[in-house]
Amino acid sequence: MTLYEKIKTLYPSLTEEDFVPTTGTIMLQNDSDGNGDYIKEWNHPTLAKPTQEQLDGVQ
Amino acid sequence: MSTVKSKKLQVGTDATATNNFTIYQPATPDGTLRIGVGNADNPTEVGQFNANGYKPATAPAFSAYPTAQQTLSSAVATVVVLDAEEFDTTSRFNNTGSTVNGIPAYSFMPNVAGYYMFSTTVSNEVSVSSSRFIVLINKNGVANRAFDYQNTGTFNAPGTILYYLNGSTDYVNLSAYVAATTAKLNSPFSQTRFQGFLIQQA
Repeated sequence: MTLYEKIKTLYPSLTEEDFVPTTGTIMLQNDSDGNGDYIKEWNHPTLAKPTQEQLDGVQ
Repeated sequence: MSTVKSKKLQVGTDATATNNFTIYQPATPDGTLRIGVGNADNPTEVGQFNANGYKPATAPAFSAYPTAQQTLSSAVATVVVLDAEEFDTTSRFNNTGSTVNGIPAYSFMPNVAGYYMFSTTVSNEVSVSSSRFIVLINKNGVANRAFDYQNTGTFNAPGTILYYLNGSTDYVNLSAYVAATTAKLNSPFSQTRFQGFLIQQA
Protein backbone atom coordinates (compact mmCIF):
# COMPACT_ATOMS: atom_id res chain seq x y z
CA MET A 1 0.00 0.00 0.00
CA THR A 2 1.40 3.38 -0.96
CA LEU A 3 1.76 6.34 1.36
CA TYR A 4 -1.05 8.09 -0.47
CA GLU A 5 -3.34 5.08 -0.02
CA LYS A 6 -2.50 4.82 3.68
CA ILE A 7 -3.33 8.48 4.27
CA LYS A 8 -6.55 8.13 2.29
CA THR A 9 -7.46 5.11 4.43
CA LEU A 10 -6.85 7.07 7.63
CA TYR A 11 -8.69 10.12 6.33
CA PRO A 12 -11.32 9.13 3.73
CA SER A 13 -12.57 12.71 3.54
CA LEU A 14 -9.39 13.85 1.81
CA THR A 15 -9.72 14.47 -1.91
CA GLU A 16 -7.24 14.43 -4.76
CA GLU A 17 -7.16 18.21 -4.60
CA ASP A 18 -5.66 18.03 -1.12
CA PHE A 19 -2.54 16.39 -2.58
CA VAL A 20 -1.99 18.64 -5.59
CA PRO A 21 1.41 20.37 -5.32
CA THR A 22 1.41 24.13 -4.67
CA THR A 23 -2.38 24.34 -4.25
CA GLY A 24 -3.21 21.40 -1.97
CA THR A 25 -2.95 21.12 1.80
CA ILE A 26 -0.69 18.06 1.80
CA MET A 27 2.42 17.42 -0.25
CA LEU A 28 3.92 13.98 -0.62
CA GLN A 29 7.40 13.76 -2.05
CA ASN A 30 10.03 11.32 -3.22
CA ASP A 31 13.54 12.69 -3.80
CA SER A 32 14.60 9.64 -5.84
CA ASP A 33 17.52 9.20 -3.43
CA GLY A 34 16.49 5.77 -2.21
CA ASN A 35 14.60 7.00 0.85
CA GLY A 36 11.13 6.55 -0.61
CA ASP A 37 7.93 8.56 -0.32
CA TYR A 38 7.44 10.92 2.60
CA ILE A 39 5.17 13.70 3.82
CA LYS A 40 6.95 16.91 2.85
CA GLU A 41 4.24 19.31 3.95
CA TRP A 42 1.07 18.91 5.98
CA ASN A 43 -1.03 22.06 6.15
CA HIS A 44 -4.51 20.61 6.42
CA PRO A 45 -6.69 22.95 8.50
CA THR A 46 -8.52 20.26 10.50
CA LEU A 47 -6.84 16.88 10.10
CA ALA A 48 -3.68 16.17 12.06
CA LYS A 49 -0.57 14.86 10.36
CA PRO A 50 -0.55 11.09 10.92
CA THR A 51 2.21 9.63 13.01
CA GLN A 52 4.51 6.95 11.65
CA GLU A 53 2.83 4.51 14.00
CA GLN A 54 -0.57 5.30 12.50
CA LEU A 55 0.78 4.87 8.98
CA ASP A 56 2.46 1.59 9.87
CA GLY A 57 -0.79 0.36 11.36
CA VAL A 58 -2.78 0.74 8.14
CA GLN A 59 -3.34 -2.60 6.45
CA MET B 1 51.03 56.30 -36.16
CA SER B 2 52.86 53.84 -33.95
CA THR B 3 52.22 50.16 -33.34
CA VAL B 4 52.52 48.59 -29.88
CA LYS B 5 53.27 44.88 -29.86
CA SER B 6 52.99 42.93 -26.63
CA LYS B 7 51.81 39.56 -25.39
CA LYS B 8 50.19 41.09 -22.31
CA LEU B 9 48.55 44.37 -21.46
CA GLN B 10 47.57 45.12 -17.89
CA VAL B 11 44.65 47.47 -17.36
CA GLY B 12 44.76 49.08 -13.94
CA THR B 13 47.50 49.53 -11.38
CA ASP B 14 45.56 49.09 -8.16
CA ALA B 15 47.43 47.64 -5.20
CA THR B 16 44.80 44.90 -5.05
CA ALA B 17 45.49 42.62 -8.00
CA THR B 18 41.86 41.54 -8.37
CA ASN B 19 40.92 45.13 -9.17
CA ASN B 20 43.05 44.97 -12.32
CA PHE B 21 42.57 43.21 -15.63
CA THR B 22 44.98 41.73 -18.12
CA ILE B 23 44.46 41.22 -21.84
CA TYR B 24 46.88 38.64 -23.13
CA GLN B 25 47.86 36.04 -25.66
CA PRO B 26 48.21 32.54 -24.17
CA ALA B 27 51.70 31.12 -23.67
CA THR B 28 51.11 28.90 -26.67
CA PRO B 29 49.30 31.08 -29.19
CA ASP B 30 46.09 29.46 -30.40
CA GLY B 31 44.30 32.26 -32.18
CA THR B 32 42.56 33.51 -29.07
CA LEU B 33 42.74 36.69 -27.03
CA ARG B 34 42.35 36.06 -23.32
CA ILE B 35 40.92 38.37 -20.69
CA GLY B 36 41.86 37.78 -17.11
CA VAL B 37 41.36 39.28 -13.67
CA GLY B 38 44.60 40.19 -11.94
CA ASN B 39 47.98 41.59 -12.77
CA ALA B 40 49.88 40.66 -15.90
CA ASP B 41 52.17 38.28 -14.05
CA ASN B 42 49.31 36.01 -12.93
CA PRO B 43 45.89 36.69 -14.48
CA THR B 44 42.91 34.40 -13.91
CA GLU B 45 41.09 33.88 -17.17
CA VAL B 46 37.45 34.95 -17.27
CA GLY B 47 36.92 34.67 -21.00
CA GLN B 48 38.40 34.76 -24.45
CA PHE B 49 37.76 36.04 -27.92
CA ASN B 50 38.20 33.65 -30.79
CA ALA B 51 37.23 33.76 -34.44
CA ASN B 52 33.58 33.18 -33.50
CA GLY B 53 33.34 35.92 -30.88
CA TYR B 54 33.39 35.98 -27.08
CA LYS B 55 33.46 32.81 -25.05
CA PRO B 56 33.26 33.05 -21.25
CA ALA B 57 35.54 30.74 -19.29
CA THR B 58 32.57 29.57 -17.22
CA ALA B 59 29.26 29.15 -19.02
CA PRO B 60 27.09 26.73 -17.07
CA ALA B 61 24.70 24.72 -19.19
CA PHE B 62 23.38 21.19 -19.00
CA SER B 63 21.01 18.82 -20.72
CA ALA B 64 19.92 15.67 -18.90
CA TYR B 65 17.53 12.85 -19.61
CA PRO B 66 16.47 9.42 -18.27
CA THR B 67 17.67 6.14 -19.71
CA ALA B 68 14.83 4.04 -18.34
CA GLN B 69 11.14 4.29 -17.69
CA GLN B 70 10.36 5.48 -14.15
CA THR B 71 7.50 4.23 -12.03
CA LEU B 72 5.99 6.75 -9.62
CA SER B 73 3.72 6.43 -6.63
CA SER B 74 0.39 8.03 -7.36
CA ALA B 75 -0.04 11.56 -5.99
CA VAL B 76 3.60 11.85 -4.91
CA ALA B 77 5.77 14.61 -6.35
CA THR B 78 8.77 12.53 -7.41
CA VAL B 79 12.14 13.79 -8.58
CA VAL B 80 12.65 12.65 -12.15
CA VAL B 81 15.56 10.23 -12.50
CA LEU B 82 17.81 11.95 -15.03
CA ASP B 83 20.74 9.57 -15.11
CA ALA B 84 22.26 10.57 -18.45
CA GLU B 85 23.66 13.83 -19.73
CA GLU B 86 23.80 15.16 -23.24
CA PHE B 87 26.21 17.81 -21.95
CA ASP B 88 27.18 19.44 -18.67
CA THR B 89 29.70 22.19 -19.29
CA THR B 90 30.67 22.77 -15.67
CA SER B 91 29.98 19.33 -14.20
CA ARG B 92 27.38 20.77 -11.86
CA PHE B 93 24.51 18.42 -12.71
CA ASN B 94 24.36 15.34 -10.50
CA ASN B 95 23.06 12.44 -12.56
CA THR B 96 23.12 9.97 -9.66
CA GLY B 97 20.69 9.01 -6.90
CA SER B 98 23.07 10.19 -4.16
CA THR B 99 24.33 13.59 -3.08
CA VAL B 100 27.62 14.34 -4.86
CA ASN B 101 29.80 17.34 -3.94
CA GLY B 102 26.85 18.78 -2.05
CA ILE B 103 24.55 18.47 -5.06
CA PRO B 104 21.36 16.50 -4.27
CA ALA B 105 20.28 13.60 -6.45
CA TYR B 106 19.41 14.51 -10.04
CA SER B 107 19.88 18.22 -9.39
CA PHE B 108 21.76 21.16 -10.88
CA MET B 109 23.75 23.41 -8.53
CA PRO B 110 25.76 25.97 -10.49
CA ASN B 111 28.87 27.61 -9.09
CA VAL B 112 28.19 30.90 -10.85
CA ALA B 113 25.59 33.28 -9.40
CA GLY B 114 23.08 34.60 -11.87
CA TYR B 115 19.85 34.17 -13.74
CA TYR B 116 19.18 30.78 -15.25
CA MET B 117 16.60 29.58 -17.73
CA PHE B 118 15.28 26.03 -17.41
CA SER B 119 13.09 24.12 -19.79
CA THR B 120 11.67 20.63 -19.77
CA THR B 121 9.33 18.16 -21.27
CA VAL B 122 8.16 15.15 -19.28
CA SER B 123 6.30 12.28 -20.89
CA ASN B 124 3.97 9.94 -19.08
CA GLU B 125 3.39 6.31 -20.02
CA VAL B 126 1.23 5.67 -23.06
CA SER B 127 -1.08 3.17 -21.39
CA VAL B 128 -1.72 5.23 -18.27
CA SER B 129 -4.65 7.57 -18.10
CA SER B 130 -4.17 10.15 -15.38
CA SER B 131 -6.58 12.71 -14.06
CA ARG B 132 -3.71 15.01 -13.13
CA PHE B 133 -0.22 15.32 -14.55
CA ILE B 134 1.91 18.08 -13.05
CA VAL B 135 5.50 18.99 -13.81
CA LEU B 136 7.43 20.92 -11.17
CA ILE B 137 10.71 22.74 -11.58
CA ASN B 138 11.88 23.10 -7.99
CA LYS B 139 14.32 25.55 -6.46
CA ASN B 140 15.94 24.23 -3.30
CA GLY B 141 13.38 21.45 -3.10
CA VAL B 142 10.41 23.80 -3.16
CA ALA B 143 7.87 23.61 -5.94
CA ASN B 144 7.79 27.30 -6.78
CA ARG B 145 6.06 26.69 -10.07
CA ALA B 146 3.75 23.91 -11.20
CA PHE B 147 2.83 23.17 -14.78
CA ASP B 148 -0.55 21.61 -14.26
CA TYR B 149 -2.17 19.49 -16.96
CA GLN B 150 -5.55 18.11 -15.98
CA ASN B 151 -7.45 15.15 -17.38
CA THR B 152 -4.64 14.04 -19.64
CA GLY B 153 -3.77 10.64 -20.96
CA THR B 154 -0.51 10.24 -22.83
CA PHE B 155 1.16 13.60 -22.84
CA ASN B 156 4.53 15.30 -23.20
CA ALA B 157 4.21 18.05 -20.59
CA PRO B 158 6.33 21.14 -21.16
CA GLY B 159 7.55 23.68 -18.67
CA THR B 160 9.96 26.59 -18.56
CA ILE B 161 11.05 28.96 -15.82
CA LEU B 162 13.64 31.59 -14.94
CA TYR B 163 15.37 31.39 -11.57
CA TYR B 164 18.02 33.40 -9.78
CA LEU B 165 20.59 31.05 -8.26
CA ASN B 166 23.25 32.21 -5.79
CA GLY B 167 26.11 30.16 -7.24
CA SER B 168 26.83 28.33 -4.00
CA THR B 169 23.90 26.57 -2.31
CA ASP B 170 20.89 27.05 -4.61
CA TYR B 171 19.90 24.04 -6.66
CA VAL B 172 17.17 23.11 -9.09
CA ASN B 173 15.59 19.81 -9.92
CA LEU B 174 12.65 18.41 -11.81
CA SER B 175 9.79 16.44 -10.37
CA ALA B 176 6.55 15.02 -11.64
CA TYR B 177 3.22 14.35 -10.00
CA VAL B 178 0.84 11.90 -11.58
CA ALA B 179 -2.51 10.92 -10.14
CA ALA B 180 -2.97 7.45 -11.59
CA THR B 181 -3.07 3.85 -10.44
CA THR B 182 0.13 2.99 -12.30
CA ALA B 183 2.09 6.13 -12.98
CA LYS B 184 5.10 5.93 -15.28
CA LEU B 185 7.36 8.38 -17.05
CA ASN B 186 8.88 7.66 -20.41
CA SER B 187 12.60 7.70 -20.95
CA PRO B 188 13.61 8.61 -24.48
CA PHE B 189 15.44 11.92 -24.69
CA SER B 190 12.95 12.99 -27.33
CA GLN B 191 10.17 12.76 -24.73
CA THR B 192 11.66 13.54 -21.32
CA ARG B 193 14.51 15.96 -20.77
CA PHE B 194 15.64 18.78 -18.50
CA GLN B 195 17.88 21.58 -19.67
CA GLY B 196 19.23 24.80 -18.22
CA PHE B 197 21.73 27.52 -18.91
CA LEU B 198 23.04 30.79 -17.51
CA ILE B 199 21.46 33.84 -19.08
CA GLN B 200 23.24 36.54 -17.12
CA GLN B 201 25.67 36.59 -14.24
CA ALA B 202 24.56 38.45 -11.12
